[in-house]
Amino acid sequence: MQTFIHFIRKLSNQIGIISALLLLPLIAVVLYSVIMRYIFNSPPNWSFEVSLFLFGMNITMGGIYCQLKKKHIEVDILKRMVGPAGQTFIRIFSLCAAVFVCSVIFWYGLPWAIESVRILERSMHQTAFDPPIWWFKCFVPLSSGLMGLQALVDLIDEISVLFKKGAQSS
Amino acid sequence: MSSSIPALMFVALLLLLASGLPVTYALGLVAIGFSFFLWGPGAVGTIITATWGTMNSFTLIAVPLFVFMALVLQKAAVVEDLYDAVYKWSGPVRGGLGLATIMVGAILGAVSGVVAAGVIGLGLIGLPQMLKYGYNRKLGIGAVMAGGTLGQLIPPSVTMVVYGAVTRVSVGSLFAGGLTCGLFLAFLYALYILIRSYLNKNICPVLPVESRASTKEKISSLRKIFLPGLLIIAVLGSVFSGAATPTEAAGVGAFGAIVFSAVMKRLNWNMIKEACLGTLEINAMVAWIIIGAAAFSSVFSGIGGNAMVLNIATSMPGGPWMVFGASVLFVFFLGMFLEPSAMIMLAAPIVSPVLQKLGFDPLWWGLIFMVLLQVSYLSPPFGFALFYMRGVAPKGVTIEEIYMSSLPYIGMQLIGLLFIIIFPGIALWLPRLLN
Repeated sequence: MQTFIHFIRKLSNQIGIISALLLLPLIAVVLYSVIMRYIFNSPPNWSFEVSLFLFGMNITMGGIYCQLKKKHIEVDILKRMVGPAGQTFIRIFSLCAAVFVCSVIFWYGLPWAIESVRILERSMHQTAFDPPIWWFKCFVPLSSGLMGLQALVDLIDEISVLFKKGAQSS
Repeated sequence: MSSSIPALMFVALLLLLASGLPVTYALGLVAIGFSFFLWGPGAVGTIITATWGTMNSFTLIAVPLFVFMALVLQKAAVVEDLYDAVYKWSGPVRGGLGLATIMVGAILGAVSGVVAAGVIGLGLIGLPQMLKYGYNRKLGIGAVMAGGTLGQLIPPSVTMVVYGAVTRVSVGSLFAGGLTCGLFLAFLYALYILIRSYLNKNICPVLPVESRASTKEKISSLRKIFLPGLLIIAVLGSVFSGAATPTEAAGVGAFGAIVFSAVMKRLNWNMIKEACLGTLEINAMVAWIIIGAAAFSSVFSGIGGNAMVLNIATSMPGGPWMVFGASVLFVFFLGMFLEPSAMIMLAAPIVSPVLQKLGFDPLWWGLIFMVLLQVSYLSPPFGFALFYMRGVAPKGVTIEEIYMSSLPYIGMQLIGLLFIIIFPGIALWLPRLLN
């Protein structure tokens, strides 16, 4: 179990780094289209959608990293008012909610993405570029699934610590 | 009975938030729960629509680009240089360090637009200086929080990009109006510090002569902030003049920040990677809140919440100004509990169309909304600036003291708000000039 927890954390971290670095090509694409538009007066027809793809992957997959690093912002006023036992309870409650919400997005997103893959859906932005977008839709179940998995791993960790403490004190 | 369900959604949300659930999950949970119990399992798919809509919002692309620009400039130590420069110039004035803190906050606002960075930066650099020279602690803490929060109002600003994406008000006009509103608030804070320091000379003592900067030092301190200043002016100028969209300007700004750090010989791979990861944390966090809030809003409007609000608003005694007052109170109240981008996502779709229908200028209302967000950062119990401050405050500062320190500055914000309501020109002068 520990190796599984370790593996998921490592995976989430790697995904975080990769999706963070997508920012660099995003900057490059925006810069390139600005140069082409304002200097050469011939804006590329693909930059709009490519920057949306890069941005979309960055935010969806970035959610996993936020879950790993506890960066999904919360109001921690209650947490500081209660004792350690209450804090554990709040953390477990939060993680259960995280697992639940992510599972729902995964559960509804999966058939939605599969349908898109089946018809090999293309862009609905009506640009001349008209790229396939079925793969982009897959990021909805993929990211929510992995984000839920990361939350689940945190939950398992939290509960196992609780059991260890229970075993020690009895 | 059915008319109480929209209100119930807000109550459920506030309870979940208060219990310490991350904002995005609290929003998602309420959206999923209400759509499931009201309409059955088929309706829960709204959250997929919300996710997909956020992934395809071209305006929001400006957010990571602006954040990245700010983080790179910050890692190139612009905050220290800036504080150094301003503080050397303001030494001989009573309350000078306090004024410097407000001014640096305002300038930093033009660099970043990320409130956390502003408050934390000023808290780490400005507060120790003020305490060292015997400033009143509450005045100093308040100045750091008020000055650091200005970044949300002074462009480029992440919250304005989000507001523009939701309400279709021009982001460029919001930026222009935010600049004058932000400078006006900065002026009010400075006035407060000056008045306090002249009423009681022990609150903010003048710097002793030997620690004042020489003219030569003053001039050389300006050199260091010349390049980042130029970058900011170029970025904002291109948005104001309408030459570039915010996303384009942000992309050029992000690239410019990399070039700047290379010129300063502070560019390396590790720094870029850190900036990318830091941007990811902020960007993904905000985006997932937007996803949750979009799902929440669509369920809220689906059960007739928006129609209900419009109904109540138009039948309210006292006419449009009564509705306006109620809207301000509503946003103010939400601000005591919610994170700013969640506030925009929840309140703007409900309130802004109603006010527009009643004949209020959508840009003016947007800017009033932005000033109310300023208040929300400082207002207890859940103002985010208060938490950032607690993170960097010196030992022995309690959360109660931080709460107390924020109160006079909240007062100044409310005075500023009143002025902007009575004299819309404060907010609309620059956007009109540019159009």
